[in-house]
Formats: sequence, structure tokens, C-alpha cells
Amino acid sequence: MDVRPLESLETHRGFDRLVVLLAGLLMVLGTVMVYSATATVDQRAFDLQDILGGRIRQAVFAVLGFLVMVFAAQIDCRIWRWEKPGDGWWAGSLYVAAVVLLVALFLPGIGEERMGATRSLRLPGGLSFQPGEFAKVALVIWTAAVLCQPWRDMRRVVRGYGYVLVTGGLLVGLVGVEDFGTGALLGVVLVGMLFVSGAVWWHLLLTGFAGAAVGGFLIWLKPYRFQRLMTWFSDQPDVEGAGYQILQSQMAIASGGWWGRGLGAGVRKYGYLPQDNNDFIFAIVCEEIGVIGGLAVVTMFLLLLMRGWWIATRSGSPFCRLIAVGVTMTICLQAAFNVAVVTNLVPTKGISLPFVSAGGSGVLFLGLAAGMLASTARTVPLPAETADE
Amino acid sequence: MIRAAVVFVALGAALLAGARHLVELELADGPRLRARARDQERKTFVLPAVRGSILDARGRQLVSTSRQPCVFADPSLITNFAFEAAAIAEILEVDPRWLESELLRRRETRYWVIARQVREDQAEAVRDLVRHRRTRAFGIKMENWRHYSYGRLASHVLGFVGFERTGLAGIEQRFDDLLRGRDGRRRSMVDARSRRIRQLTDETEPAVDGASVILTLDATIQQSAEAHLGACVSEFSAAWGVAIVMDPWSGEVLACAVAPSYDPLDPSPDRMDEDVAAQLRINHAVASAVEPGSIFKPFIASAAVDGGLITIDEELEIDGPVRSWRGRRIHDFKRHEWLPLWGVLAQSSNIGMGILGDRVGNERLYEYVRRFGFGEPTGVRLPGEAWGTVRPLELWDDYSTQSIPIGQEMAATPLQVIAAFSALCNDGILYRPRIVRGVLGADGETLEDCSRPIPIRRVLEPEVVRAVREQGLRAVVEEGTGRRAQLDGWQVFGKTGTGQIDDRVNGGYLEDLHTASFVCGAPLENPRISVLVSIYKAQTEEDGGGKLAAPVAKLIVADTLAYLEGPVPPRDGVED
Repeated sequence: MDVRPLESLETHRGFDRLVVLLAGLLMVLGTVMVYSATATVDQRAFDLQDILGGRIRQAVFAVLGFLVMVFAAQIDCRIWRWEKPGDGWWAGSLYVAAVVLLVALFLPGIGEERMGATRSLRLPGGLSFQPGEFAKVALVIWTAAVLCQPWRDMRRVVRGYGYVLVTGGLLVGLVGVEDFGTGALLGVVLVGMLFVSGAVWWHLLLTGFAGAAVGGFLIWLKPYRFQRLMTWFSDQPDVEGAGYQILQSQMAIASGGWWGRGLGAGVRKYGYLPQDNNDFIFAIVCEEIGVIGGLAVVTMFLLLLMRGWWIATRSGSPFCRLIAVGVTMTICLQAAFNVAVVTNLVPTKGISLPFVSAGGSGVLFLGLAAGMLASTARTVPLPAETADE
Repeated sequence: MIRAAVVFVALGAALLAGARHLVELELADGPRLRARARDQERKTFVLPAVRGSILDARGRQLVSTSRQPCVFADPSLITNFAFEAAAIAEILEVDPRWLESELLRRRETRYWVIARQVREDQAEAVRDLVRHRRTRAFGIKMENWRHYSYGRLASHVLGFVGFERTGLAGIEQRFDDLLRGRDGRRRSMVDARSRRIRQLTDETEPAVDGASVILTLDATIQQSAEAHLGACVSEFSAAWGVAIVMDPWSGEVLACAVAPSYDPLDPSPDRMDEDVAAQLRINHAVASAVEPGSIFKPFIASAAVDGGLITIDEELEIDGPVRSWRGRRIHDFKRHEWLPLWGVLAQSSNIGMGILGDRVGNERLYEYVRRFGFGEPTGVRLPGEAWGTVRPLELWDDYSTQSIPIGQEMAATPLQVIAAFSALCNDGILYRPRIVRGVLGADGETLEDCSRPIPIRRVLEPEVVRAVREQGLRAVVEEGTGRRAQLDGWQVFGKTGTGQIDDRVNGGYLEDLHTASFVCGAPLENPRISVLVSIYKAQTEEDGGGKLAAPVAKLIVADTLAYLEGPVPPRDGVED
């Protein structure tokens, strides 16, 4: 394999500590909240069996996710570049792996169906793996790598815009079949990256129409999606069925008030609020540490967003700028979407809160993504050298 | 740069929109949703108070409450009926096919009690099974159960509790308020299935367990009384019998036996007609007033002596066996020419009492009757006490003058009789009969102390009592109608009685059914106990008080004195 020449990896500064700190704090919060949300009524105060048997899992994943993040932050993320023909090993194999894993979901016996959707692959040892989370990282890297290829002309359809759209769109579509929310999220990230790299307006417009058509098709594919949409539009939500979850979510938030009931003192997690440890963990956060705590979490994502902006606008490397945009979009859009769902601003979609929700794949690959974002900061010149660029 | 700025600003706006909506939600709907959530989360559980115990005078637990496991099923959750029924049936040692069919029959229901009061090991086995199979179709619930340590002993005094754990008879009924205690409440946070969340704090108002009632009864004396009375009642197929043992110096009821007995755990057996069962539950000692008959004679005789109208040795011209008063013929069993007053008692001469009646007169007779407490309830703390019948003086006529002295034309409960007779065993004081000594709170604090004797009045002067006792009542046992109550080692004194029973159908008195009674005290010198035995409607020719009741009383006296005073020393020079 081709090892890049040292001077091209030469850095102006180390990885970005603020990104690592913010993501790390969110992981810690996630560990605590998932531990709290998985409490059951009949457990004893401290039960080793119970803790080793599952409740501690999130802590293990969070530690692994943090290590992956620090590791990724240490590596110059420019190894993913594909600027010369023959450079594409890393990015290419990542893309192929993502496609293969997503296709594998449809093979019987490998995919694991939960609540009507097949979103994870069964692994030995009772673990499972969500290709969708992997696809988030793969899409950002692949799109950034392809967009930075010198021979791509974004004004041209086949060799430029269309190529990126179709290759990236394949990932988006594969994800979207079983996981509409994540698919939509990835679609927005893809379009966003195309937009930032100078795509033509009418291309984007057409893509928008096409995306809406595909989205409509995907909604038609699974009836429950339509039902959720109807629930959201309805003035009098159906309290028994699809509206139950959102009502419970709002009650959980409200029962915390401004300052919350205290960590671990929440009640709605005891069977009232479904999905309390993953998609709706934000409601439990609000219940236990209050609206103030919820705002603090949103603030952390805002800080992450501002840091992404700081890197994306100052980085000396176009590839790193795109990575920064893509990763920041992925994380913050997901966070914004999750908060919007939990507070009933948008229809219910299965989107988890980055770093906080339960789930190993999510925290590992978002850790990888955050590590890459932190890594891109090394291409931001130090103040003394800014004048040179 | 501009395009990137658009993307980042849009993202920031999305995050801020979420944050703003969060704040709006709290401001607009917070209190309403919060109240609704609080409603769902709180549940009040009742903490049942443990019903108090009933103890005898020596602190033996006659009735207590214990927590017993009960096995219930939620048949709607059962998937494999044969399989589940077999497992549970094996633990509970019941027929699996029966259980399966019962469960199938209730497959639509959510709650069915399979077995109550199962053994602790069975309960544990069910818990294991539930845990092992991760099923919610079966469960264990703890229930408070009343436990009668001595079975049917003193059932008429103790009473029983109903399904709602409410006292329905006897002490259980009379002291229900105190025995019951007060249920506590626990307001807990619950999960969506109303299960208590243990990690969160509860608001608890603890239950106040019921108080314990201490009786004057002594289980040992009670056992003896019930055994001897029960044997006689069943041997002669009597309708019922009562035996009361009293401490004459305090009015404490040491034993109150009613035969036949009933099972306080099953007061209305399925196989029994409810009217019959209800008859069986009547505490005749306080609830049934009957004509006392000749056991009433000592009260009139001693009162007449006390009033100076006669002395115990004064000879009366009987000239029996029949005498006529204004056309009314009074019979004696034996013919006597002359009898002293003590002899009238010893031979139970109706003619002698008739002569005495003439001498005393209605007004004084009425005063004597009331003086001994007849015609009003004794005030013993048992439910359903009868007043007895003493007609108002205005309604008395010439007939009454001869009827009252021989215990007719009036009715008294066995408890009234023994209370009055106890005045002849102590030095002439009528005490209120007591069956409750005190009430102790759940923590052992004294709620009620009723251990002190309650004298009502002095009815006789001590020397009169001694004279009547030592001449009249001793003679009854030594040479008169009560010879069958003679006892080695103890001098018994008493009076027999064979009361007539109203014929409710034809009027007048029943021909061949009587109330056979014997009331006595012992020992003569310093009476320790007074005993009344009444056998109602015994199916035998030999149904006189001396033949039927005296032997029973003798056995009870012997047992009780042996228990209270120790064994009788063998008489010198006599070898058995």
C-alpha cells in the first residue's frame, strides 16, 4: 500500500481537543442516562449480576467509542483522500464494505428484525451491528473523497455531479429502505456536501424532486410510516396507538420541569415511555435533569457545530473541509432531528441522539466520525502561519 | 464559504428550533402534563393491619392472626393449560386434571385463587416455578388468617370473623373496633403496570395493628367444662347445655362452655341448614333466658332470712306431698310433715317455699328478685345478652306468690343465675360478671384495664350467707337432692333445679322436657369457685337437675379445684 509522503501529512497543530471533549462529555452523559433508563422496578439497589448482564454495556461501548475517537483523532484523516488514480483503496473499500453490509441486511438469517424493521446484523455473542451507522461514516468519507478528485467537474452531470449523486444515493437508498429516518438524514448530508462543493442550482433542484419522489415511495413501502405522519398531523392524537409515544415523551419532559427530578429519580422510564433508552432518551434527560439539562445538551451540539464551522472555514485542505462539513452535518442534523421528534416538532422517526442513545454501533461510528472531525483541525494553520496561506 | 455558511446556519437554526420548542412545551403545557404524569405515577396501597389476638387469663393465645401464603392464577395468561396445571398441581398436591379444567373454565378471567393457606415450602416452590418459567400466570399473595389455637374451644365466647375480617359474634364482634386495628397506607411511585418502584421513596402511613383482648377465661378450666358438659349433652341428646365456672370473689368467668360447639373457622358448614347452624352459634349462657326452677329457691330463702322473716332453723309445717293454695295444687316429690328452712332447701320442697312465699309477700319477693340482679342484663361484655324476664310487680297476682319462690313465672340466663349464686359463695356481694380482663395495644400498652372486681351491691349479710351455705346448701349435697355432686376431699354445696319449659305450641309446660340445672360452690369453708351446669331438653326420663347436672358439675369442680388448689391430700388412714 502506498504510504503518503511525510510532508503532505505535516500538521500545523494536533487534533482538536474541544471536539473530543464535547463528544466525550456526551458519551459520559449517555452512559449515565442509559444506565438510569434501563432501571427496572424490581431490581435491588446494587446488583452485580444485573449490571454485568446488560446495564453496563453502554459504558463499555462508550469507552470503546471514546478510544476509537481518540485513535481516529491521532490519525491524519487525509489518508482517505482519492486525489490520484490508484489512491482510492481506503475510500473505495470503505464504500464497498458499506454497500455489502447494507445488502446483507436483506439476506434471510443474517438480518435481525426488530419492531418491523431490519436494521441490524446478528453477531456472535448476542451482539448486533447496525450497518446504517457504518454507512454514515462511509458516506461522508466517500463523498468527500470523490468530490475532491481533481477530474470531477461539478458542472458536468455524468463525470461530476451525477456520479457523486448516484454512488452516494445508492448508500442513502439502501439505508432508507429499512430506516427511513437515517436514510433521509444521509440524503440531506449528501445533498449538503454537494451543495457546499459548488453543485449547480438546477441539479440540486432536480435532486430535491427526485428525493421527494423516492421518499414518498419509501413511505408507501411501510404503512406504519404513513400512520405516524397522520398522527403528527392530527389535532387529537390517538393516545392508544402511535400518538402514545409522543404524548408519553412530552409528559416525561414536563414531569421534569425546569430543573428535573434528579439523576435516576425519573419515573417515566418505568414502562411509560417506550424506547426510553435510545430514540427517546432525550425525554428522560429532560425528566431527570430538567429542561435546563436538555438545553445544556442542545448547547453542546451547538458548540460542536460552531467548532465544525471553525474547522471547515479555516482548514487548509479542501478534503478536510468537506469531512468537517459532512461529519458536523451528520452529528448535528441527527441531534436536531432527534430533539425535534422528542418534543413533537416533527413526526416521530427512529433517530437516536448522537453519543447519548443506547447502542454500540452508533457510539462507535459516531466516535470515529468525531475523531475524524477532531483530526481535520490539524490542517487549520496556527495563527502565526495564517498569513502564509 | 457562503454555501457552507448557509448549511451551518441552517443546522444551528434547526438545533435552536428544537431548544425553543422544548422551552415552549414547558411553558405552555408543562403544568398540565406534569399533573397528568403525577396522576399516573402514584398509587396508594393499603397496608392491612394485623388483627389482634384473644388471650386467656394466663396469656395463652386462643385466637391469633398469621400471614399465610395464598396461590392465585391469572388464567388469561396461561398458554399451555395441561403443562402449567400439572406443575402447579404437583406442588399443591391436588388433582392436575381438576386444576386444568378449573383453569380452562376461567380462561377469560384475570384472577382466581387456587389455594389458600398453603405451606411455606409450597409457596416457595411456586415462586421458584414462576421465576424459572418467567410466567406471570401464577403468583403468591400473603393473606392474614385467623387462627384458633384450641380449635372449637370457647367458640361461643370467642366468636368468629366474616370474609371481610369483621367480627361477627362473641368477643370478635364486641371488640371488633379494637381488634381490627387501623389499616395503613403507602403512596408509592408505580410503573406503567402499577408495580411499585422500590428505588423511589414512598409516603407511608404505617398500619396500626389491632389490640389484644385478654379474657378472664382459663383455657384449662374451659377445656374441662367443655369436655364434661359435651359428654353429657351428647349422651342425652340435649338441645344444648351450658356450664359456667366463676370466681365468686371477683365475678370473673373462668369458663363458659356451651355445648354443642361449632367451628369458628366454618360457622356455617355447607352440609348444615343455616337455621340449624345459627341455633348452634347461640351463646346460651347469655342469650337464652329460661325458667330457673328450684335453683332459684336459695335466693328467696336467704333473702327472707336476711330480712328477718324466718331463720334457717325454723320448722315449717309442710304436710305434703300436695298442698292447695286458692285452688292451685303444689306438689313435693316426697312427703314431709315438718321441715326446717334448711331442710326445705335440701329436699327442694315446693310446699315449703310456697309457705315462705305467703310470709314474704309479693312486694318483698319482687324486691328480692331484683336485688339479686334478675330482670336486667349483667353487663358482661358479650354481644346478644338477654335481660331475662321479671314481670313488673303490677302484673303479679296471688299465683306469683307461690311461683316466684320456686323459680317459675320468670326467666333468667345462666349467667344471671351464676352471678347471683356467687353472692352466696362470697360473703353476700353481687359482682358484675366479667369475661374481659383488659385490652392491650399492639405495642403492649394498656388500653383498658378491667381486672378489678365490680361490686354491684351487698345483697346479704355475711352471717346469713354462712348460715344458708353451711346448713341449707351443704345439706342439699350431703343428704338432699344434690348427693351426686359429693366429692372426695372437697365439701361441695349447691342447689339442684329442674326447670319447666314453656310449651310454645299448646301453652302450659312441656310434659317431659326440662332444664336440668345444678348450681354449686366449693369448698364450703372458703369457696373458691361457683359452678352452674344447665342441660336443656335432655332426651331422658332421668332429667332432674340432681341426676343430670350435678354429676357434670362435680367433675368440673374436681378438675378446677385440682388445677387451682393442687391435688387433694389423701385422708389419713385411708388407703385406696
